[in-house]
Amino acid sequence: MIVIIIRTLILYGAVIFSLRIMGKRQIGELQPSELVVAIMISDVATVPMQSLNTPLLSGIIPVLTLLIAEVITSYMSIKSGLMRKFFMGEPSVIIYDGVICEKELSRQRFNLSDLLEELRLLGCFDISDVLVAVLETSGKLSVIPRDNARAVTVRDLNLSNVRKEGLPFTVILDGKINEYELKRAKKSRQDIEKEIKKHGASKISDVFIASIDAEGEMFLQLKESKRKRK
Amino acid sequence: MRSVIITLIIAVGMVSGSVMYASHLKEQSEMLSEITKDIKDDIINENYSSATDGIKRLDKNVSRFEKFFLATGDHIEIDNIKTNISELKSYTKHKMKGDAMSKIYVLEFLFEHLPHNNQVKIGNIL
Repeated sequence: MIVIIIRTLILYGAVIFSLRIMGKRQIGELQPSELVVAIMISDVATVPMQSLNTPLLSGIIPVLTLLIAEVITSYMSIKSGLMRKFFMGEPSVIIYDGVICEKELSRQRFNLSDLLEELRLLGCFDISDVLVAVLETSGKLSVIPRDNARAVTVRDLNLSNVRKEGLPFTVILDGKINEYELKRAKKSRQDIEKEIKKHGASKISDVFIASIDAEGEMFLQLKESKRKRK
Repeated sequence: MRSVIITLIIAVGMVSGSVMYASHLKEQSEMLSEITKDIKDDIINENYSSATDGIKRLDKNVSRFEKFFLATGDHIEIDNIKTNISELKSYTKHKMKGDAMSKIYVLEFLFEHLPHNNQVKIGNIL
């Protein structure tokens, strides 16, 4: 039994290592090949977990081979448009300028019910609101709504003095200062300590999360144990 | 770029490891076949004490080889080999020539067969 546990943990480590090397693309399953690899890795890794007669390397070597194939495929796709087209295909325009492309729909074997379902899932309940719909290589549908059907933007309203948006700086995570984020926010430790006191925290280790937005305003949440005492 | 480099290192490691493994497996298989041939000659000549020494040498080499083989080979193959060696030991001890010879032929086949599954050929790929 202990042997099975050890083998499972080793295979788990090998799969995690492979997924980390393959990167965010693999985890996001952006392309069909990535979906294939995910399915194959899970199947291949479980065989030696279950059978003690099967050597461990019979699981690890196929996982590493898939890793090599996937990384090389994705690298070749970056370097060559032809390779990209071969491995990943091309997006298909299903609706253009408000008109459904029947030929493309039939080529993709994508029926009208599928199309309407995907549009509804994207929040487009009326097909007449859709200007362009593209069936991506990942199988997902992306939609550009007509001008009169999309959400109003700041540009439409011609507003000035708009609140600045940007990536917030998460300076404290689970009671620890993130030095990199602190540097990015151009703040010092003393600045943060002063700021957290305004929010009712006595020290950095009491804070669960603290982030500073583009306007310089801090969002802070204390750790549960500190909140309950208050 | 880092993941590509790591991947290439793994690929080179796997290919060279496979080549070295196949080469070592072939060497071991030939060595075990040689020892088996010597035992066969001893049994044919009814030299059972020499055959027994040969079987001990064979057993020792199989135990050493086992650790290497179990990393990638089918465990059942090694189990088969060890079962046949045990039977051969017993037949030799009791001077049962016919039965001992049949075990010798089985062992010869098993040792020759060891590197076959690792050869790059259409039969193995399909």
